[in-house]
Amino acid sequence: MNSLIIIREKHYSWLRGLGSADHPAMVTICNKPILEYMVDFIVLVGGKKIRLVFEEPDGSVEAYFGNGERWGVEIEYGNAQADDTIARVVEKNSSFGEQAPLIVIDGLLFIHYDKNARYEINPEGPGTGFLYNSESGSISYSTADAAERSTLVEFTPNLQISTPRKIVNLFRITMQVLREEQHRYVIPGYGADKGVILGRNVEIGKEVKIHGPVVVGSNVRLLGSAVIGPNVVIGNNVIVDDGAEVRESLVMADTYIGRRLYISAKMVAGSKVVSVSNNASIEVSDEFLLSPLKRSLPINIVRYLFNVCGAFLLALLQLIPFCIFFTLGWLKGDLRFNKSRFLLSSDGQTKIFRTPSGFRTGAIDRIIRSLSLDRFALLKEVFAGKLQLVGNRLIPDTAEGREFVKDFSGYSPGIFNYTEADRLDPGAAESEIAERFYSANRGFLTESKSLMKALMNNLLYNT
Amino acid sequence: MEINCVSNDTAAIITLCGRLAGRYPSILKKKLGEQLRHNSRIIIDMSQVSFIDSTGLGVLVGALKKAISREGDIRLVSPTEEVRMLMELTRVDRVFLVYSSQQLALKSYSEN
Amino acid sequence: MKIRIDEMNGIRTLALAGRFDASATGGFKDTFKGLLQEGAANYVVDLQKVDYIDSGGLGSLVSALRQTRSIDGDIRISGLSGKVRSVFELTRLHRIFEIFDDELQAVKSYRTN
Repeated sequence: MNSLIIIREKHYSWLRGLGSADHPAMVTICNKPILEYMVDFIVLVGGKKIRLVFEEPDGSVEAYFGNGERWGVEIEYGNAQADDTIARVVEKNSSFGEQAPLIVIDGLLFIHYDKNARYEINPEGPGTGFLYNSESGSISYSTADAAERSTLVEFTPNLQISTPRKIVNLFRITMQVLREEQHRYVIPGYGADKGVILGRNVEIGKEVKIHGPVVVGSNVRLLGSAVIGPNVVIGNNVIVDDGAEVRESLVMADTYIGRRLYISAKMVAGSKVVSVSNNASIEVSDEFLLSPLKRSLPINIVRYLFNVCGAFLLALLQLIPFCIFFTLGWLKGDLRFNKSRFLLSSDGQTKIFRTPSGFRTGAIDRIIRSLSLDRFALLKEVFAGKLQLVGNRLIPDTAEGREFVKDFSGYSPGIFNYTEADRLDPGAAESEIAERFYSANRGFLTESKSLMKALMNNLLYNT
Repeated sequence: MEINCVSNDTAAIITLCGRLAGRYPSILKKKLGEQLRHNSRIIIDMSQVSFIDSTGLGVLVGALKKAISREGDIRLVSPTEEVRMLMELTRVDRVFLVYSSQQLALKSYSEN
Repeated sequence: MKIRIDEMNGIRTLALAGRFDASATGGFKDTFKGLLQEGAANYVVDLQKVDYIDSGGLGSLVSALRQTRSIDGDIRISGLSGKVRSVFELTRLHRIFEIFDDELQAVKSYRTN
């Protein structure tokens, strides 16, 4: 039996507000992605192959699941459009679906299965039917590749299915799993005693008290005389400082909980606290009380060296011509500069750069552009680590620009860019394709090639 | 943020309106200090405080200690949900008596 | 890169094989231009045997799509897997192309539209 799991934006978009770097489908219950519970369930009912079908894929899900080896199942990946019906998705994944029977899970569903139970699917004769059908999603089953789905099909024994639509729903499901259903799933971590599960690399101070049931993620530090539990889930990469008390609460990943803080019946993520009883939420502005913990990104030394050496060489070559031609241009009154704010990265950092513009086309201007001397002033930004030597096109800090860059997680602007290296029209789709393509396939040779092409293009097409 | 003071025999009623953050906590600290010299029983109406930071909370706690040392008190009226949550997080909610109206707060003083 | 042109159920199909890089874009563009001149608006491009595609190849697919859309037609993609699928998703082309496992299903999908 095979399974398609359809991950549609309309079911997951509400999770994007949580500010996690991962795909919303990776949201966790007791530190295990909901998607992984779904995969476990399919394996439990006899599935051999699973295809995760995305409307908006991103690397984080594929990086986590790989080819499914870890779960003893084959996992593949596919695409769908927002308005595709289930039948259409099955058509698009026909080579998969033809090997009936097929279970299709559509929606963000938490299936309250029991790993020790045996489930049977009892269809009313051959054909297809829904095992679960609601506004928030469905589970359908077919024994042949018929497109009609109308009859009701039953799971034996019966299964409870939760469909989280709000953050507090996630809280409720977490508490249900933590308090009553822990034994039904494989929850990540090592079982200590009395319903306490700990992840990898957890540091627990000598006077820390933990009252189960509690699930703690990986890379967590519990300091001093902190008190955790009962009924607490702590995500990965969290610090709970001395004297803090956390009970009946959910602490999401990458959070620092300050000294003596008292957290009861809350959901905490970074500096945001949500009260589960009345949905009120606050942003705590004092970092020593509560703040997000940044995951440190590794700095690419090789890239930095390439940038610095290249910029240095270029600066040496351009120094004298720059002095000569810019002085000439200034004397002639030809020089005009624009100061604009540009985006530096997908998390919204910006900087003001001066870019020469409004040149009256004259011989001096053409020479400056053909020798790429107009970029000379930007070379220093490479040493400051703000710009790459070769990278993405600089995008101005406008609403449109911010939207574009937010959607482009590897965005890294350069003094010379891929669009000009390939002589593409900056507004066209081909430019965006090239920018995304080269961003993801960076390497010494390709970067050098792009730099040479950009310099050559300037030389050839400006004189 | 606006600070309004009304005094009567039972207690002084201070109404705050706006965000108790930035430079306002130190302004409030001075006002509370002045008020405590005349009357050590104070009521602070928090119903229109939209936001408070740790400095603001610190000023309230500091003033409370002064009031108690003069056999008085500082009682709070209707903190908003957001303010109440921050007070709960920092355990400050345990040291203040909170009432749902100025009248009830006044009554609590006169009953003593 | 090899291009095999065929017709199924009245829809023109192009099965590409090999490397779809900058050197192949010229040939693809010419071939496609020729097909458009024959008047058909709907196509299926099968990439099952394409082992490498770069931004040049992707760009020429998008350019071809634009041309068919301007005459109310479409290009549907089939046989996308592995590295080629990753590159499609990376450059966000999964948003503008309908993607099918199978050439025949892609051809059939024109009927139900």
